[in-house]
Amino acid sequence: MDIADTMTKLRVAWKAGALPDVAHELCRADRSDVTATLIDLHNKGEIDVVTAFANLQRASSNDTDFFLKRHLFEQVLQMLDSPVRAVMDCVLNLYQDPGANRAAGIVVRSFRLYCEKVQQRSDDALRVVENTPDTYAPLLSSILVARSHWDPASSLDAAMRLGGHPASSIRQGAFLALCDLAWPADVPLPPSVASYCELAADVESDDAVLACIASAILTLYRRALLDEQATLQTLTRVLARGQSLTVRASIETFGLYTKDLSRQIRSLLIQQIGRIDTEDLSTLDLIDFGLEHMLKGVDKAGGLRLLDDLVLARNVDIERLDGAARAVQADPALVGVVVVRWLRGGNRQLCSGLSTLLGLSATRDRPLSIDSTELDNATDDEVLFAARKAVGYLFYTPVAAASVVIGLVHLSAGDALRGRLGRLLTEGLLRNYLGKCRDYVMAEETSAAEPARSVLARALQATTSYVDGLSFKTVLLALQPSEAHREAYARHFSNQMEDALRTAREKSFLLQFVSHQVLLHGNRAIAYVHANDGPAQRTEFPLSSHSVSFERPRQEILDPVGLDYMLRVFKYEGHAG
Amino acid sequence: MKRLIEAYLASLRERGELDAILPDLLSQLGLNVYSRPMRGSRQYGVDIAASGELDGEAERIYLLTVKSGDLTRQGWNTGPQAVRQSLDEILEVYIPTHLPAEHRGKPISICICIGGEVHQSLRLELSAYEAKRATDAIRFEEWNGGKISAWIEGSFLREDMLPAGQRGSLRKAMAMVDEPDTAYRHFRVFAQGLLTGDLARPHARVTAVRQLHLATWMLFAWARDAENLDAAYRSAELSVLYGWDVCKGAVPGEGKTPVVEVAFVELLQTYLVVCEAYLQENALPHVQALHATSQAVRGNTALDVNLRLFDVLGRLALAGLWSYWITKRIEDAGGDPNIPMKATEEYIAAVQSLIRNNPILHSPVSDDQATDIGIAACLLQIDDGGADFLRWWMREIVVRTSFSFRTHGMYPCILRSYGELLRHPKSGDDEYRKRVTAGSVLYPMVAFWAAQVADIETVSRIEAFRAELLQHCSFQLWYPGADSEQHLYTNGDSHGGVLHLSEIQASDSFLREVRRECGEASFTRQLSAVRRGWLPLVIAACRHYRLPFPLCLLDDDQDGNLAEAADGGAPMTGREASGE
Repeated sequence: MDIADTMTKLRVAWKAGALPDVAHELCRADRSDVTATLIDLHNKGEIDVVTAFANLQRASSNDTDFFLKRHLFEQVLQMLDSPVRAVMDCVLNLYQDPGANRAAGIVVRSFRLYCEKVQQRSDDALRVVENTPDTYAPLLSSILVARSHWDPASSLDAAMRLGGHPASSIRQGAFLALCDLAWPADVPLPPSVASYCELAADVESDDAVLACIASAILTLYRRALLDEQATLQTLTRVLARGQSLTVRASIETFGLYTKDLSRQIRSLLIQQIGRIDTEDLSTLDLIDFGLEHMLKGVDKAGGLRLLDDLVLARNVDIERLDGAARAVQADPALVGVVVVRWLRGGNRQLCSGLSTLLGLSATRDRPLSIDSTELDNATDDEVLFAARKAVGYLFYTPVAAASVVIGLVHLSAGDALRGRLGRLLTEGLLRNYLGKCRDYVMAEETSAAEPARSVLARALQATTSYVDGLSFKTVLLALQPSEAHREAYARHFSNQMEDALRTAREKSFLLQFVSHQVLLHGNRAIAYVHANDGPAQRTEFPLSSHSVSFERPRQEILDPVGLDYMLRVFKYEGHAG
Repeated sequence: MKRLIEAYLASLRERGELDAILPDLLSQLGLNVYSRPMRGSRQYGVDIAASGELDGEAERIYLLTVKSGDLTRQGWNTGPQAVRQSLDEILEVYIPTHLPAEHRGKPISICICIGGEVHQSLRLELSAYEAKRATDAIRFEEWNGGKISAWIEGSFLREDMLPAGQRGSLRKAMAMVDEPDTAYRHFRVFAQGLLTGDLARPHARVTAVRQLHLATWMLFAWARDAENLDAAYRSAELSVLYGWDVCKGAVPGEGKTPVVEVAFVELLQTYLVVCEAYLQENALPHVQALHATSQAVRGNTALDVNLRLFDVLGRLALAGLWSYWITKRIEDAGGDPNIPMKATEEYIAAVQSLIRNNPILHSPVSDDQATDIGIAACLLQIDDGGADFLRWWMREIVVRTSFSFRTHGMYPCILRSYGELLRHPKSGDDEYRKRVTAGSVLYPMVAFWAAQVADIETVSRIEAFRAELLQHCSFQLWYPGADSEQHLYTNGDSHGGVLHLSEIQASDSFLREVRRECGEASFTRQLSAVRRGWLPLVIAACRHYRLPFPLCLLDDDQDGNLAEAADGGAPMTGREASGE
């Protein structure tokens, strides 16, 4: 499509009051052409983009085009020659549209760039805000930041001045502006800023404003505009007075900028975790993000302590801490520490979450390393206790469980203990898993040194004897379930699978976005996709099958109650004495 | 039908197997069988001897030498059991010296009795042998599978004796032996048909028992070929129970056993053969290895393993009780009881091994498994060392069942259908749990046996469990009633009564309460099987129809042995038949 054609269409659309819709449609074909043409036509006065988008509203909650249209406006805004007031109204409308606040900050950022373009714009905008604070306060921080590019000192003054404004929303904007204020790198921030923040922390009682102060202090610290001591001092006061929003703001900094924080500041922020609502998943995600960075190297020991604390004191489900889990899984040394420390401790909450933390499942079973230093001074009973916990909690990932037991065999002193561990390996794991687990133990036996090798050899021999006892020359048909029972079971199993499939579909994220088709024959799907113009395109999707398989523990069939009993004993038994 | 019978005869593997049905057949043909098969060696070549008129001929003596399968050259003249040698012995020893005095001078038929055919290669030699030795008084006859099956069909399965529908049921049962449930269902229809016929005449009763016997054998032979003896076992057990129901009314003559009871004994012997074959194949060789029997079930679920293992346990223990009963009979008759007692001890050891090596037997899932537990406990306490084992087993059961109950695991419930049990338990559903544990024979049964071996701790544990979690559950024990005699052997209707146990007190008082009811209601001792000394029949009936083990079968004395017969009892073999 040529530019003239685009221009014509946009002109017609402007007159018809359909500029956002048509621009959006044209944008699908050629984005750069449309944005450039929009700016050109607007600045020539042929159309008014600001007026056209000022009334843009979402048609419904499913109106995803709204965001794409708004994005078009965000792209062109900074290049438009338009009166400040009109732009502010338009931006506010797009920012505050009910339900449209997903990525709403982007339009404000575009507004900041618009202000940055011409100093007068930010001066004018600041006046508008000061005159009508109730309406335009949400734009204050953007205006001050934009203005600081032209005049940092006066903008800082303005921010500090407005920090004492009676309106809470203006105070919030003023402190938020401090976070992104453009300040020359080689010029230190006036000392008055620190004392100003400190003073504000002492007098401010509005939690939202305190949250902004906390963000401002931490940002200035990260930008090396505030020293650690001053930061700690002020932050302590802010956190002491602040409530949930302040805590949330500090946790945000912990999560997003973990490695930029000193140990003391990090420690102060971690203390605030005790004040969060663990049902608030977004805050939990931020903590997890910070924890992940700690475990990745910022502070591994502190990370492990925090992990323990989150699970034990805050009852956080380890499933929620997927970042922490990723960090642990990527670090075999950390795995070794966690495995031994948690199993040796025997705490139910920690041990129950071990598989999740280590990313273990029946289809993702793997050997685990263990850290010998975690076993320092352990008695025989404690070693055996840890091994039984490993079998109890890692039973459904037998290779992982066996690897822990074998690791403990290697580290054990004394034949008696090694013998007990060997029996545990045989009776708890090998008798249940004659496949991959047994193969793993055989491979370990080959490479093991004495005396562990003998223990493994005896365990394997006992397993072989057990298997030999199960071998029959003939199939004992008279003992097998009748055809009627087999059919009844097949129906029962089919119903269970159907229920499981239905539940899985209900929870499927993917199926919310794609349609579901049942193909009765063949191994590929063919469809004709109709584009806007031109002939329908033939597409062909080859089908593939996916399956997973895993070994069921034999006792689930042969002695389910015995198995359940054994695992519960292993899981819930406490330390002797 | 004749072809089926021929195939059945040809499939009989041992000489003794063909022996087992021939006396019944000859009797049914109108002959008087005066010498029956003996275990071990032949009587100078004669396996069975009978006198009478056959096929319209004048009275003759029939001396049978029996050989299973086809008669080959090897069977003809090789080894101590060779047919030629037997014929020589008959001619040279038996006829001159052992023919009973009352039969001397009568024409004799020496019958070569085979399940299959005479091999063509032997035909000439056999004919030459017979031609050379036949006289006016002695002739040779060849009773092959075809001839015997024709007689069987004519004697047992004639239209007037067995309606077409019933024959069809028997045929279907045999055709479906690899589907035991179906085969058993057809067999039961067949057997019920026999019982609903006119059994007023003694001869009709004898015929009915013999028909049951023959059908049991035929099904057994078929099942053996199919390598699945389950249907044969269940059908044989049913036959024995039905057989007793037919036989129990016969009044013993002076010193003579009624013919119908003799027929019943033959049937019982066949049942025991089937039991032994079943257990030898499916249980006894595997009980020593951990999980082996459980593994052999190849179940889709633990439920399959659980149901089958308790079933096997009941069968094995019942066989042990039969063995013990035989021992007692031999002892009473002044014989050497050591040999059968050894068999009983082996059964006890097998039951112990089965329980020890298949821990699913510590976790009953259905309340009616109390029956199997009761039978096994009854057998175990016979042994001097059984008390310790019994104590351990009962304790394990209590620990596991209470654990399962608390964790909504596979706790015992009153459900019986496989489909319902598949859906059991429903996780975390307290209402459901209450509903399916509304009553229990199992816990009182376990408490009884624990009390029997003076395990007060286990009894207290059960009572504590009841008080804490099973207040809603009606603890009960079943006792035969006045109506039990009528229905026990055929399961015609529900019968007997239950004793509600409001609490299980310390072991002594609990035992006293249980025993007092035995004394109050003496119906158990009035059961015909108990009165006539066939006590294991009652246990077999309980096992077969899933009735709780009747504790009144135990002696009142503290050792808990099986009670003695009220009015003596019939021996397994050897009594002369009265002329019914």
